[in-house]
Amino acid sequence: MIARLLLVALAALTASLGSCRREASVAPVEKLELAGNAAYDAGEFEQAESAYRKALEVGAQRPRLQNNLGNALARQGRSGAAQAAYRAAIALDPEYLFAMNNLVLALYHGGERDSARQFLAKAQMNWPRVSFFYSTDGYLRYLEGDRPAALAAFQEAIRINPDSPAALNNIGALLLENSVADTDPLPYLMRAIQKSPENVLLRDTLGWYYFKKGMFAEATIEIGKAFLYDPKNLEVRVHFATVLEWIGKEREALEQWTKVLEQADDERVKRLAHEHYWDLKGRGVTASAN
Amino acid sequence: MRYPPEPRRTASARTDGKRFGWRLIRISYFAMKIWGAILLTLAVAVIGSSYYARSQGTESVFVRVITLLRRSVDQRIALITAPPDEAGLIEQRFATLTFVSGRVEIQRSTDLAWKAGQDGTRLASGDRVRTFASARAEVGFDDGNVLRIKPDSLIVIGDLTENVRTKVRTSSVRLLVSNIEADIKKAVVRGSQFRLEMPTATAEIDKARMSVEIRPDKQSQVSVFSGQVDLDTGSQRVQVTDRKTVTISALKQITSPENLLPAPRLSAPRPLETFPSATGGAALSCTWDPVPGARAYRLEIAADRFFDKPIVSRDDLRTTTFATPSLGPGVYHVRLAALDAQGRMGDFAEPVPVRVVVDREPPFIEIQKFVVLQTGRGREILVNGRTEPGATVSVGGRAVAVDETGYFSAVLKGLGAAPAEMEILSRDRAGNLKSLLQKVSS
Repeated sequence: MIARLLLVALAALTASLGSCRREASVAPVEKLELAGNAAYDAGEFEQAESAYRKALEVGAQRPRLQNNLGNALARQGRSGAAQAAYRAAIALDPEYLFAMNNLVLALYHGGERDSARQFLAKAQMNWPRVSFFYSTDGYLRYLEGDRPAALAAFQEAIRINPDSPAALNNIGALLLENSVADTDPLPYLMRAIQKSPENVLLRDTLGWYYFKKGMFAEATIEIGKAFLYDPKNLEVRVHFATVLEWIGKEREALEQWTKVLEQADDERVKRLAHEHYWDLKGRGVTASAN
Repeated sequence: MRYPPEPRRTASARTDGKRFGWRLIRISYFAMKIWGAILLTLAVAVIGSSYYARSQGTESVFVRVITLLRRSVDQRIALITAPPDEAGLIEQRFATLTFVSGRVEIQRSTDLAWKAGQDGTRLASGDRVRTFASARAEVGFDDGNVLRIKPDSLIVIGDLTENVRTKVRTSSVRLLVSNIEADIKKAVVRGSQFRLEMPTATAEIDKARMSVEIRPDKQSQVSVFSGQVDLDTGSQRVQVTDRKTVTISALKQITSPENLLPAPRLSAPRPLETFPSATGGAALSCTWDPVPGARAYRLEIAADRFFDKPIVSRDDLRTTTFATPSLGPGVYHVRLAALDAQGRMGDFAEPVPVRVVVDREPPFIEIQKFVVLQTGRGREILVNGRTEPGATVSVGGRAVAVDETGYFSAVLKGLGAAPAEMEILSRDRAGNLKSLLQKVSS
């Protein structure tokens, strides 16, 4: 759930990166920036950081470069350095909203919760029609365990922008937990998919909704697509393995659970994988030869 | 036979140069008789078809042709006259036939022919769906709303639009003779609307689970299991809320709402529960909370989530438990509804998916430590090891706690004259047994 709520942050990151890709210039700064983006997309955050720093050293003091550098640093867990980069981006462009949003997240994850809240409140006051500030607000409230407030914030984000995939997914995922309100998450998830059909986490959330409802064919399609798009995502793999078991593909499920056991760090996920692995093994299921 | 008088024609009208004669008149009169017969047959067909269609509560093919022609003309006029920016504000949406069982046919808005409906067929505004006897269909809308069409029904997809600027979605479905269930979910964008058009009323729905039955005499039964529906007959407006049912007469009179029973809550089986079986089949034990006012309960178990061909279908259950016959391996869906004193069925509880899996493999036992100690209080045995997670273990007939990973550890005290061997027994959830004999030597 937390992973998918990070979509709020990812939305900002993707948007800023997306705008970079549109530039077709092959000047050295652009080349370095594109290299940084490619490394970032591949999960090579140190390389991305290095490329962005070089681009900045060349002399291009662009807010977008600073923002991207902040993202690369944030993904390495270097919250303080990321904050500095975001602040530099905002100093260059005081209306750079993505950097503001990212700064809030960096402050929050860096332990400066009050500063994050104050900064977000100020941003919401100055730009009341920007939906992703409300999405971020909802995300922070979710992390603090205040689910009704998180739901209200996501709903406000959707009221401002009914097509915001991040807010739609977040509200869908929140409702899927069934701990907030008796509202079906399906309309939110379907709308999110229509607006952002290639988003892996959206597909996975929708697939998981179908699975919980016993709609196994639909679940297989959605989670299968998510797994195809991002086989490295452990949460998607867990869902994929579960669905495979329920549609009778037990050998394939065993293979997936084995991989989850190999990759999982989280104790909860490990325990779940262990349980499923032994359930299948105990029934005499063996992994296929290849 | 009388002949008509000779027509007055000028010479210039005669181009063949032949002389006028009675023979020519006879032939044309014969042709007139043929045409007369054709027209008469056509008229009889139109009237007969209209009467038949009216008795069935549907539209005759002639009315349909005229409607098509009129719609085509209307669309052209609308295209010509609409202001360009206003025309661009509305975006057409679609629905999908998500399930088909039996004879289900679709008639496109632009086509007179009925074609077989298939899973995944897209439906647009103006398309019709009809189900024949024993046939069922499900229409899924792009906003998650669902319409389940029961046998012998005919529906027409009405508006399916989204306002590009406000994002407000409008959906409507016209019900002719139909029996449907609708699951309308709360819309993402405020102001969005789902409308069901019945012969004598319209139903505006914000969020509801409901059923509508339109009988051939144009009487409609509207049952709302949850949510809220606003009914409007033109002369009367009524709001039908949770667990209420009303009847709308052919004269557009709405009866006062009557109560429906709530859906019972299944306490067993639990959603997504797995039943392992060593014998190849398992009986499901179903239990549920009683519903006040329920005369009986209807329980259905099917291998498909649409409950198209239920394996178990009982509507005479007077108690709140039921054990199914042995079900083979596979996935099953269980649902339950309460029946009131009049035999009216309330809402079905959310279907519970479960599965039966075959497990004929005995669990493994791995003894890591088995130590016999002679203490002042007598003999003690320290034992630990691993078995299949979920299995129960006993050592020498004494139950030993097993954790969720299958690890067990125990110190057995107060053993008298211990036997030469001690049995360690593991039983998995399917009932398979594995026994291991361990020598007892201190």
